[in-house]
Amino acid sequence: MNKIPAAARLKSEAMKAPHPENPSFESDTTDPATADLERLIVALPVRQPGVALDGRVAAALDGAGVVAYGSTGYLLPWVRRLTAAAAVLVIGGGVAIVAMSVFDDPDAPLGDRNSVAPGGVTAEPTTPITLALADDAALFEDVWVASEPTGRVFMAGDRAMELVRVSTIRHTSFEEDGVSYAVSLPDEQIIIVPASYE
Amino acid sequence: MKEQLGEIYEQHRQGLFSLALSVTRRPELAEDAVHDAIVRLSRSKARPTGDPVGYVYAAVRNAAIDITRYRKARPEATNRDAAMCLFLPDATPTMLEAAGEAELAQRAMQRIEALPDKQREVLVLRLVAGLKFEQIAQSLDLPLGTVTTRYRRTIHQLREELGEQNPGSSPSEK
Repeated sequence: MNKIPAAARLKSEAMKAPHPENPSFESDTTDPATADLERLIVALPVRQPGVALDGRVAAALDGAGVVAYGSTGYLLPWVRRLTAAAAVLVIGGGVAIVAMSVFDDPDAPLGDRNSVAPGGVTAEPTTPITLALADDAALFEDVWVASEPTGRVFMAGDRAMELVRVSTIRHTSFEEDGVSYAVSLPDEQIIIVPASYE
Repeated sequence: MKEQLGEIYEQHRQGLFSLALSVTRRPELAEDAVHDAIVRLSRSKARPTGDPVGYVYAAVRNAAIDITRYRKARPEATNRDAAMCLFLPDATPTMLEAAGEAELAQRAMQRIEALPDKQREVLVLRLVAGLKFEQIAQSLDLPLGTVTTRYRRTIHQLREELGEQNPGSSPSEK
């Protein structure tokens, strides 16, 4: 059988080091050429999940609801800017989860992205986190009333995040560009904010 | 299960995502699949059957298949033709050299991306997720013998393809 050329083998340091994501991988082959190829593949640069996935999973394990993709949910997303680089997305209408993301277009008007549609009908998200951006940050002051840090801090990528339980949220509605939006969030949600937020 | 689920996610975050990505071929859908599976499992009262790790991988794969089917029914098709999805399309030479010769690493990535789904899934579960063959069999709901045969055939195929294209490779030993 053909062999992977020696030059293509893992460099000595890499060969000794466990794969960062699967240190438990143990080859059971006795064929050196197969082992070479396995080590080559193990060390290839795989695409990694976004940092938001950690937050979504953590929130799910903490009992937050489902963030529905596509049109499977009855969604009305909201975003509140917390820092220049992070945002919290709240999805109401009976299911709720919050995720952290990065504003890539802070000037985009509400509803002009991919997630907000009138009447709680969602559009197709095109990013791991549906982004809804608003020019008027004060808009969200009506939505966010109280929050209580849970003390549960975790790392999402290189950011320290903390789960925060929102205990009371007022209902509100507003109109923009001739479209009425109604916000009706559950009484309690678990959200995620940068740990430095509180 | 919930506590165990958190541990499994932490240990297999990359593997779960890569498996989902191998099915959906779109990163955002892969993340949705992982999330959906975790939500379903965390709410399920059913006790996992077999190895818990394999059980979670199976759930993620099922969620990824569900999402892919759903998307196929939509006007916008899934990005099944993405040339580089599982691996970083913009990997730098330095990143590739961490695996060996950059040019060969690049070709290996392309070959793996082009594999049929069934072969790529086994490869991902074994070499990206680091699962044992028994766990892979559970994840894919296949007999152990089928999994090991498929894996070895895939490795053999890749060796042939990469070796044939590399002028510096040694002659066939067959």
